[in-house]
Amino acid sequence: MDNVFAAGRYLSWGVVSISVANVVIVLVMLVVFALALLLPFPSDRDRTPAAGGGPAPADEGREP
Amino acid sequence: MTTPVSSQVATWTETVKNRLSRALPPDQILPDRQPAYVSSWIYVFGVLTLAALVVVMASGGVLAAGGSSWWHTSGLGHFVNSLHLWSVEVFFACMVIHLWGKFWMAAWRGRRGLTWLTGVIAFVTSIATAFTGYLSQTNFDAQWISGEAKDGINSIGVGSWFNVLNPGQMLTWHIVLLPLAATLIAALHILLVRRHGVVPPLGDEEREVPR
Amino acid sequence: MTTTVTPARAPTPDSHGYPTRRYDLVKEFAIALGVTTVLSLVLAAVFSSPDDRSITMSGWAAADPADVVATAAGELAGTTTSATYGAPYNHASQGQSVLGMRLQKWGGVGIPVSSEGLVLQPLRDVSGDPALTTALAGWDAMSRRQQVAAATAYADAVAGAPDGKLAGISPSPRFGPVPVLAGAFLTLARSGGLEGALSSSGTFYGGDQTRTMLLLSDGAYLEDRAVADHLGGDQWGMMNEVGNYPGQPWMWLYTFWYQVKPFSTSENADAQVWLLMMALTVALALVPWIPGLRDIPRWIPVHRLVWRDHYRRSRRGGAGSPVGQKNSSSSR
Repeated sequence: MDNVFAAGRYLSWGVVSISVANVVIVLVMLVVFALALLLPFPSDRDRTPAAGGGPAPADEGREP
Repeated sequence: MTTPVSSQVATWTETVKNRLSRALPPDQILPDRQPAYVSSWIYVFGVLTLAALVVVMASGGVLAAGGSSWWHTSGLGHFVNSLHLWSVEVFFACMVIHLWGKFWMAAWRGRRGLTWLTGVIAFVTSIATAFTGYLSQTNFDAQWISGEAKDGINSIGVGSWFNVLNPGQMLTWHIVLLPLAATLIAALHILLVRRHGVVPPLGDEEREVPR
Repeated sequence: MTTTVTPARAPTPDSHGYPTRRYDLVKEFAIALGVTTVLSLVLAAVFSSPDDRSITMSGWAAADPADVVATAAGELAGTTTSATYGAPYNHASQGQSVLGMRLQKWGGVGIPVSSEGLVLQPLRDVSGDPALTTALAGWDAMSRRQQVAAATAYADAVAGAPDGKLAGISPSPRFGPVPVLAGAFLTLARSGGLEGALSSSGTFYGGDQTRTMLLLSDGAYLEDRAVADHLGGDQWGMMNEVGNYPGQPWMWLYTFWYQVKPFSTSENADAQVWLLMMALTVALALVPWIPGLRDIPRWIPVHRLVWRDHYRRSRRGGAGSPVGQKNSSSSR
């Protein structure tokens, strides 16, 4: 059979088999998620106390 | 003496206008301030998903302009196809990270259950859209995927009506019906976020002191 | 204003009751658009996208002629996957069921396909081949039982041919006209005459590849190619893409069930996995209303990272706290 149609690289443990490409994508996503949680977000000096801003629907009530 | 306006029956337009204004006050559609607790990078993944969707649709639009076989014979077409594939990967990656974030924040609190629900529906609709996209490739992938997928769809009795072996049907679902559905659901989802505001931090409810 | 009712669970405060900060949503969207555009452009330029050419009928005939002949014989015998499929193509099988629901059958035969016709219809369109015309006449004159017997016998012979070579099959009257029919079918495929023959069927604008795909799927070649590319059903194929390209990682749970019992050995696996995934999807959609599931974020406090600034400010002296309950709903 032609090598043109050779499969990519795969990792296997027991019944699990996943392509290297997919693993990389998922790992990158997990790292990005962790970074998103950990990296400091630019704060804003212009904070005001609770002022609202016009009419707002009440969100409180029974959960959810 | 003229009849006071308030005693006249509201026109359809007035009714719709009043309902919309009550549901979504104009200054809430595009606020220029957010609660101070909106202060984490996790919050950008919703807008990243939306932005990626724009790139997906723009690249898809160029592919549509070229026709369903264009990308097989044109170098530019192939590049646009690559752009479409990778923007879809970015779209799904951002959407899933957004879902992870919203789950761990329990973002459905405070009557935001419908926001969560529309988010899940948007996710599932996106998968269906991607699925019909894979079926529209007119290459070996499309042959194999359609051959396999038909078994799943036939097994639940839907195959007569939704025929994955029919590229013409799959293409029209992919470029008309499903993007329309995905856009409408995403719009509803975003309007719900604007309406309810970003969910307050977990644990704040315990701090309140009823008088 | 007093709170008169104690809720079962303390309500979430109104987000509008909090101190605010400037937040430029439009600029954020513009930056997000720039980031995703650049990211997509770079990824596309560096990694491109796969485009393995479709398997044509002539390509199949050139790569695996014995498979084409075996498939043709199987269609004539009524033993192929499509011939024994059931709805939506024929009534040959009850199809799959789950929880007692025969969903496949209930869907009805909305796309009737004759498996014999996949072979005979293109052959009947051929002119100028007297041997073929004779073979077709001979086939039509046989009873269905005779047809099945002849086609099955030939299909068995092809399967048992030494080295898979058709030339190694000894002629036999048991095969009837089937070798001529299958041979003519192979010749037609090789010549390119089969392309589009099953999707246009005498009309000008074809396009519906149902019958062509059913024929191709009845052979082994398509699946052999797919398995070589790690796209097979028991290779987590639903998640994968050809070559080293990323596939569809979000399909991991859907394809997972096919790898494990009872689904991996079940004849109703497709219907069962579909129902299971439907249920799990509904559960995901209804998380806000499912006790236990919706409490996981409270038990595993990942959120403390998200809102650490807020918690720190609130501990220090209330500047970050919402205005008290009593005010938040009354002044709008």
